[in-house]
Amino acid sequence: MNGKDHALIVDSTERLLDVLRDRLNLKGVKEGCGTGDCGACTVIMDGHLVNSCLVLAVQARDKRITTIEGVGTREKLHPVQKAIMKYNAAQCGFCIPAMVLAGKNLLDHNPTPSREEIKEAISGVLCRCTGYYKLVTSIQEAAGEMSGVKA
Amino acid sequence: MPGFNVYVPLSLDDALRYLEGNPTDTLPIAGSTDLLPRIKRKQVSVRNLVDLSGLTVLKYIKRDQTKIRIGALSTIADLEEQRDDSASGRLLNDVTKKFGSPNIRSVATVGGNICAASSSEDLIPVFLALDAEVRAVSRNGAREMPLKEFIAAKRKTALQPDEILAEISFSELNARSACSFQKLGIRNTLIIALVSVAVLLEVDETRSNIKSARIALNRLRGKIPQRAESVEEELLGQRLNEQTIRNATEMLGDELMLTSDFRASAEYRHEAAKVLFRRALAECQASIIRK
Repeated sequence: MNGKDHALIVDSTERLLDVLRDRLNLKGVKEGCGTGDCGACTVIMDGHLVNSCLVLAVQARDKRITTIEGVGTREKLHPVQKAIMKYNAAQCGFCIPAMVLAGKNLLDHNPTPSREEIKEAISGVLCRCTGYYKLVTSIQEAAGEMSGVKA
Repeated sequence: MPGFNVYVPLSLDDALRYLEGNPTDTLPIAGSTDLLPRIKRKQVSVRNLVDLSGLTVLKYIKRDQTKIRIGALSTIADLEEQRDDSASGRLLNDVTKKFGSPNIRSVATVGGNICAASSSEDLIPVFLALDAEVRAVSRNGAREMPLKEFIAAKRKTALQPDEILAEISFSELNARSACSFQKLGIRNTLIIALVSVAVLLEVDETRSNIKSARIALNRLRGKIPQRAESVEEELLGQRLNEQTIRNATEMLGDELMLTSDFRASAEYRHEAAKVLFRRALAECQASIIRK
């Protein structure tokens, strides 16, 4: 979990989402729908985006998990986070942890994505406020910064 | 969330042993993307879940002479990542791109999608069009059958309580084949298909006549995916041109017997199915001309 090992005893019906929020106090992951339709509960598991509301805690055994708390720090934000601030791409903020994780995971695998590829990468996270445009631009700018090319 | 136990097997044999010993109220779970929401909504009542997600022995995509074999625990992401430029490879890329969302594809499995056995499962029309066979295993051995037989009715497969689906396979398509998968829902991703169509066309050496056609829709005359066999027969030997496409689309319209539900009316599904079928044929035609 964000670079640290945890050994936990969990109930069989607990989801990864419940473990993150209730046992590990990581409140950045949100429950928007609980059925895998909104992506607000997105975390990175072994290099893949997953809906933590659909992963049973027991199924997350031995996996490497990254939540928003493991991305950037106040002193050194991740380029995606910096760009979202620069472009005012967040409104209510509810989808933002998931959007940042989706952007980060994309750039970790594909440092020079097209706008289309960025849209596909975030297509599992619904945003009710912004219309997505600035979020895509933010990820595009972060890609440029990380690969040393102006977007 | 209603209560259940989770058994984590150490091996495939361990999982099969557990299923054999717990024949009632026990279900296998893998990606959980279909099953967990259904358990929450009390559409499924279950006492024990067997977590198959760690059984990597069933996670493979391999070519075995002329057959492609896909382990049932391969995720949709695994399918997406395979870069095969054959007609079937491109068809699989087509369907995986439109499947759920990236988040769902990471964990959803091929076997899970097939065993869900409903018109919402995108892989089923594709594998029906590919004339796929499935293999079910239990401690007593393995049995194979065409996918068509495996899907008995809506949300009902031929799987016995002590079996799991282990593999789906199909024969490679020849080089003169083209395929297309079309899907329609309320937006571009994270949608349940109102209509989905998989078309597979094989042409003769002149590349102008249809040698064989395989057409599957998520709903044809009922609530489960089926092949449109009479339209397939009608297309045999026809020239692949605008007139043929138009006639075939009309004929499909006559074959369709769809119902209304809270997602869409029968009339809408009917018109949409014709449009998607037409697009699929046109895409196949374009791809054959291009080659």
